[in-house]
Amino acid sequence: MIGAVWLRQLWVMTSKELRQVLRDRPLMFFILWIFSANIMMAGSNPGTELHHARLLVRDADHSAASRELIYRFREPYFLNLGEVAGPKEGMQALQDGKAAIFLDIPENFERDLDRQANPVHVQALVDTSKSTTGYLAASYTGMIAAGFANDWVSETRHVAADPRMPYIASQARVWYNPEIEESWFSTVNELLMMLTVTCILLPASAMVREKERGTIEQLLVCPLSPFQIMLAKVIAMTLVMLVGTVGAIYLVIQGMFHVPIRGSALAFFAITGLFSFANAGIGFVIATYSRNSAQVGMLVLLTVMPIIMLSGTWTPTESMPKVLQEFVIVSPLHHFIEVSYGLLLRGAPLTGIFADVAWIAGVGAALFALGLWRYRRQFA
Amino acid sequence: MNFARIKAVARKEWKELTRDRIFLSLAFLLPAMMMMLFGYAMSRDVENVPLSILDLDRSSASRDFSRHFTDSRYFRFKGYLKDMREAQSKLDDGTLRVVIVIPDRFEQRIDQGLPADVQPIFDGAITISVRTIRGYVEAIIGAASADVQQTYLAKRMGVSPQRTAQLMQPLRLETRYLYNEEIKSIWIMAPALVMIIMMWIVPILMSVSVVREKETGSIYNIYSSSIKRSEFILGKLAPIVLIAAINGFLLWMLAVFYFQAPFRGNAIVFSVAVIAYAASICGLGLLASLFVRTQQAALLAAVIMGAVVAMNYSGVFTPIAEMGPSTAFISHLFPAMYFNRIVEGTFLKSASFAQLEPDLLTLLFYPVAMFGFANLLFKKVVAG
Repeated sequence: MIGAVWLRQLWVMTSKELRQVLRDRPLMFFILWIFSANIMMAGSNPGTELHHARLLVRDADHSAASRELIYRFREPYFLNLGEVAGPKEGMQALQDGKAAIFLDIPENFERDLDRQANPVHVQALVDTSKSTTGYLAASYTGMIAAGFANDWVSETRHVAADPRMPYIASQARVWYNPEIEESWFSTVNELLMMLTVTCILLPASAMVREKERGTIEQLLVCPLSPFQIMLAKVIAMTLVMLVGTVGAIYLVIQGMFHVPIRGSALAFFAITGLFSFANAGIGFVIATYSRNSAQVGMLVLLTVMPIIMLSGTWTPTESMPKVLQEFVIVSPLHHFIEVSYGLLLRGAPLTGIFADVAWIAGVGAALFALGLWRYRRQFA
Repeated sequence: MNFARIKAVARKEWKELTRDRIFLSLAFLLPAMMMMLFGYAMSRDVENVPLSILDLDRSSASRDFSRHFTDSRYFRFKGYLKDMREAQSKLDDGTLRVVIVIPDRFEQRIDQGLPADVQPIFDGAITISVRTIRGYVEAIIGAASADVQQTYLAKRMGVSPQRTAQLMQPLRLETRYLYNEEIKSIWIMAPALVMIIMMWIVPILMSVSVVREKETGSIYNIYSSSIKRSEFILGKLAPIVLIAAINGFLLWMLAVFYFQAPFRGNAIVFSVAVIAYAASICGLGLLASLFVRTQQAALLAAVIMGAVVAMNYSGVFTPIAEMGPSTAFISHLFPAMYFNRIVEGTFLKSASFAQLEPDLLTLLFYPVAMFGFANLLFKKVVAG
């Protein structure tokens, strides 16, 4: 079946699809946008780290000890806005959203620490009405207080101070990204998310457009098989996506954010092609269920948002409810994320990602077959 | 402006929308479905992180230390590792997120009163939760270390471990969580999702409705009719603003009644904000649709705009005060940020009207500005 004529037909069809995309200026603009500016913006976001949490303090003691404790709330994690006269002002500032955390150090703080009788109480009020900041600010405050207490015990002539006290020291290492650069993650993540959106949306709307405009009738009377028509659309889209991905990886992700590529870049691009093909399968299935672009838009959103939200980068897969975890296994994106971070950041050997690649290929082939079957039933 | 003509366009638009049953049902079902799904999926609580231990000491002290991790609800213990090679390969392929290495002579050093090192290794490839996970691990090591010290000190001073614990922790921090006392992330996420889901869906509804006319050619009827630009735009906007606002109220109800997120602010202010926000994002979608020719491009633009603005420029995941200047500037250009501030000020916190007023006014002004721009950019002239 696959002869020279067949391939030539496929090529003609593919170049028609390519031309259609390249000539749509606004569309090209958005495609360029997602592979460049969009990734740059994602990379320059400060991310989920605690950053400049605004701190207000009431220091009723004004001693060396209280100053030492306050001094430990430092940038970039905290931004010390200064002191207030009493707890009431602190509460008001939290209510007005002017501060995120209020630290209340009581009178006789240092004296009570020196007495070594009862523990000294320090109060922290944290605004937890906003997403991650509140919780992070609280846990950092806890760590700072513990560190302060620890040093106080060992540095003063405290009864519990002992030069030969054993302790367990943590020599923590963060592999693959020792400085925990948020941009290493967020730039790659943004690329993967946008690849998912476009690789599903573009083939779906390209397909439904033929229906909407009636050009599908022309295709049906052409000596082309439905398989050729679909394959041509996938090849054209995959080519555009691959060129964009290569550009984004080398010019933006590596060029501007210095993300190391530790594994095989060639393998990554090959699997990106496979991923694009698998997503096109989703897009075709959607196209066969919709009659116009508006429906495509809604159906794409219906599939793409769960795929993205449940991919494991917003919430780690292991923290999700069990039912969702089983659902996630089918998602090509979930496996593509493992492959991408494995090949780009972890430098994983190809044997380690084989199972994920097999999943992407399997799910992609199944969806493609489903799309083809439904297309044939509708038109041929 | 002729009200009858606006009404005629709006009625035509409404019929077109309601006759497409699939589209109409999706327009109402999709937001609710997303809310239910993401309410569960987007929790930021880190639990069941896969962890393994490489115990090179195999002593009773190292086993005591390990127990701190195997008993923790934050981690799912995946068994002991044989050697460093196994640790490496399991971190490489992503089956483990944390490995704790306990070196040999661990027990010996503790018995001699010397510092004993342990080495937690984290997978830093997915940075989104690594800091939280590291925080948990450090806290557990700290607790284990305190245990060791208390036992040591109790033996030396001849007092009870309770007394030594008190001596060693002279500072007690009392943390009070305001507005979200139990730090439930769903209480934060459910209200935020009202803003996010509207931002995702409404631009699609809006931009497709204009571009469809362009692509199918029915826009020529408009070009050649006596209707004014502003009348056409208003007629197009009205039905979709209505759908968007109804969806906004539905999402609000889901957040309060289904996810039990407390609503402590002024319901009237919030209702006005929902309608103004619906009109604002419709205006935004309309503006975007004027720049594109094909529905394919319109869809891509709407999806990208919705996702990017809702996630990066709304202040939900990174508060505006903590953003860099360029990100903060872009955030001020989109309505999501203003609406999100009203969401934050009416759900968990009960902000006063004076605090919400500037954001509410901006949201009310926003659709007017969008309408003005669209009116300027929309040309009733056949291009090329």
